[in-house]
Amino acid sequence: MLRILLFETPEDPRMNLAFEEAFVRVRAHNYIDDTLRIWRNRNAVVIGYFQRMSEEVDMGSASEYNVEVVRRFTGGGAVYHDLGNINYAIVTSGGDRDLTYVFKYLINGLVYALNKIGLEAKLENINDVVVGSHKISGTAASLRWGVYFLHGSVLFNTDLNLLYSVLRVPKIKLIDKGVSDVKYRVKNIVDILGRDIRYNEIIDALAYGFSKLLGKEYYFDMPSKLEYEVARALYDLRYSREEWNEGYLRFIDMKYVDEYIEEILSK
Amino acid sequence: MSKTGFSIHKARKGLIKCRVEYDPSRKIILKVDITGDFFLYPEDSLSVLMDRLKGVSIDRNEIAKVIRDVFNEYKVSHPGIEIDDFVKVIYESTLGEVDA
Repeated sequence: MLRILLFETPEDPRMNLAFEEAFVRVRAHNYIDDTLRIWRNRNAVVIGYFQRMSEEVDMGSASEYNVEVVRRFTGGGAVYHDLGNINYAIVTSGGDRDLTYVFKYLINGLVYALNKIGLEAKLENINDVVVGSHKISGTAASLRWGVYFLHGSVLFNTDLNLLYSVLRVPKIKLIDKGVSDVKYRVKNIVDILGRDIRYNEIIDALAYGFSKLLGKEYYFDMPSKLEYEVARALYDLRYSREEWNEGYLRFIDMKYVDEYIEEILSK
Repeated sequence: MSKTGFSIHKARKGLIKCRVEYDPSRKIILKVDITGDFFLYPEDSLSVLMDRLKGVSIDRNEIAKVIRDVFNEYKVSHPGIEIDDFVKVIYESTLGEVDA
């Protein structure tokens, strides 16, 4: 069965990201079924594991608009989140395949979901989901903790002006290198569809898409006590720390966090 | 006297930003700092790579060998980004100088 969680803390992006790591690690210990999580932030920038806050975020703009910045545990680029942007995260049991496979395979759950709401979505350049010439979703993946994990953000009705204001655009010209970069061709799904779309419809579409991909029936669930406990610990030890969010602390500097979490998980 | 150089390179998937502190007279790398929006798994391999580049000669082949060794040792998965992308950005960082 595919478990679906709608747990979110939109006012606390750092807790949202702490929970993101928590449920993956709880799945890695087989306490829960394969899980799809759907969630939102009210006003945040989420940067990739290999990025640095100062390089990606216009701090003046972030402070002016009360945008909180948080770093995630997966690679890839910075994204802006508001309630018009829907995040999904899928964790399944692992195997011996590489990152490219995880992208190629799991991303189809999103493609099916978008088809369901009437969009002709396709995959471009490994992990960009595009409709026509517009990028509507970016994704990141990891194999950490021995499971297959993919998460992404989908632009339904995000404030794109704010997005452009808080994310720093690299000065390097990409087009003259012959690289097709769709980062600057983002578009909201409501504008492509020409109609509003309710959160419930998006949840149903994602549930349908990932259920179809995995060939499993789905059910809605609440977080377990263990997921809350691990999320709380990760919030305290990792995601509430400025040195982590600024991009300076690395996993190898934080082995004590892994030891502590593993201890909770093997009780 | 050490110098610090910076370079930026667009791979097929991801932008690599690199700062290298180097000794121009002895032609060796002192410290490397790589950031960007690429993907590498395991993620720790990049930290290991940056540590192993300390003391390596400023030479494309030497740099490539260190990267190849780390990638083999850690069975690194690197979608859309090649060893040559890292060699290029690290080497080119040693050609200029920026204010730290």
